[in-house]
Amino acid sequence: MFAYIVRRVLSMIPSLLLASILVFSFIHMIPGDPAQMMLGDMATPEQTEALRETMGLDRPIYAQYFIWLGGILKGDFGTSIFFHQSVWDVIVDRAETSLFLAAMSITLIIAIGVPVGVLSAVRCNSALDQSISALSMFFASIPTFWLGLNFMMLFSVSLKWFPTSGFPSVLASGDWTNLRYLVLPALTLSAPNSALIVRLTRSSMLDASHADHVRTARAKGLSEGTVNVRHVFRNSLISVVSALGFTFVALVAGTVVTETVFSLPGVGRLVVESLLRRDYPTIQGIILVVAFLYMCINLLVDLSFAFLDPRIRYS
Amino acid sequence: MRFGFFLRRKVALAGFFFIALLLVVAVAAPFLARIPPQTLNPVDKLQPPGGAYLFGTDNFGRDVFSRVVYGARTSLTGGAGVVLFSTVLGVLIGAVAGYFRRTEAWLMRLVDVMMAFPPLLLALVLVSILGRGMVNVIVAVGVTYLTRTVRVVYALTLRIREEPYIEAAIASGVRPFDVVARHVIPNMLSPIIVQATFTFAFSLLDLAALDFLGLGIPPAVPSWGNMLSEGRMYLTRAPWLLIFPGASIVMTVLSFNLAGDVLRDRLDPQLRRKVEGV
Repeated sequence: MFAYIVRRVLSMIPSLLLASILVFSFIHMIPGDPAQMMLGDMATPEQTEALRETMGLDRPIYAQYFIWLGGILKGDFGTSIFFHQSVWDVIVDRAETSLFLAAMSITLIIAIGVPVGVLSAVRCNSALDQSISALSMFFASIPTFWLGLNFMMLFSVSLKWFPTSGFPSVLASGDWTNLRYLVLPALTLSAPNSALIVRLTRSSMLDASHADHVRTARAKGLSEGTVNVRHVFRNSLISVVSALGFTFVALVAGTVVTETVFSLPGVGRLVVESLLRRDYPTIQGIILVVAFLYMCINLLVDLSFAFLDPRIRYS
Repeated sequence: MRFGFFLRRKVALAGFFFIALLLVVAVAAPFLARIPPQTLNPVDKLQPPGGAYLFGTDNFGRDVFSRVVYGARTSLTGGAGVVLFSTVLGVLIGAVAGYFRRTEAWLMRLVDVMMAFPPLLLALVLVSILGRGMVNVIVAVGVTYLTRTVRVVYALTLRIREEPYIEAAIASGVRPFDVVARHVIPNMLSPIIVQATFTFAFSLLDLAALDFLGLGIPPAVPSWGNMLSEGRMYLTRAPWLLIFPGASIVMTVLSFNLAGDVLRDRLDPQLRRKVEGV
């Protein structure tokens, strides 16, 4: 097991290098001169040239890449063009909102998606199952931002249950009731993803229920509840857990949109703003961090299989 | 059980019917829309639905109905473009990587790494590189679906290449290229069609999201995403600016999802799990 973990972690290195090359080349293909952006329209060509030199933009592209990569290995992601401070600090400043939002959403997704999917599979083809299927397909077909705007119209504007937008920091103020600002965004973000988890849980439960050992369990007289929980559900867990990798990706994309709808000061909105401002170092840093997180989550998902299913042994 | 089955078929039929309707609307847009979608009429701005304007007007006095009708054109073109781009390239790359093993290692590694970038982020960056515009947006979103199609096609190719008829084709002297073109690819058409239907559905959501974030199709072009992006400012004053384009997106995506479900059950029941994970 330990050897497997070491091997998997080591194999992340070439992937991360490839990811960093891709990110770097993509971002440098975006037209526009960062030095020009930083100084504005009033700058003289000499000033721009001088800044290009200090930023290292006059060096060949591969040299710039290695300088950037070397910096990251030392924990330096470069300097944001817009904020004039380190990219890492900019990301950390915005991380609180996104992490709270993601944590609330993933809790909702698991709390809604898995039980409803199990219920749907246990009552397979009943009227209840049909309604759940219809409802989950409906929620999987709604654009996140439109759902968010509708929630805002209903729960904030009409009913006044929740604030419409923004998010005052919890950590800075110590006021946990501020989390109410994130209720609607979290609902928005979790609705389509819960729907996908419902569908996935249902179909993997149904797959697992056709296994021979399930028939044996029924034949030896175990109660329906015990069969469903201990034999069917346990065996369907693997596909549900492996879907969490996809859910993470969907959450990142979802936060970009949701944070824009609810004007939240998070990393997702920072991405869009940075792209519109052509703040390359910031976008570069965020995307690399996200890709790294994705690889880590996939590793954790793979490792969790060994705990979920004793038949799986990594060596 | 029977009841559920027939209900599902009815609902699925409604999906196909709506897609057909949408096609008609998109083709006949100039005849259906009395007022051209770009016509500004500031005197009649923010008129509620009903009366002279079926779906009301926006803040420039443009007719929401004609913009929704022309938006159907934009959406169908966008979705079809993404499907065409990702499917054609995806089948080519996936089949080559799966059949010619020498190319496999680095091609699939590249695909895996690309999948570490959340699709919407990748699409946003690509649009920034290429610039806003219909074709560029299609390419940007198409690339994000390309990786997924490549993986499905790659997995299918690995399975098909072990089939006896492939062995027979090789033994009878068919050239490797022809084996792929005539025997491997035709034998995975059904799962590819199913995958394409779902790609169509979900790409519409991505295209709308790009428009909404201001990095999609240029704002002058009537698209449902652009309408929502502009209408957002009038959330309380003119909710019809959000209701009509939003409902259009939901119904279109829903219809393609329903159609995909039926096609999957009909064409390839075994694909069920593979596609649902994506």
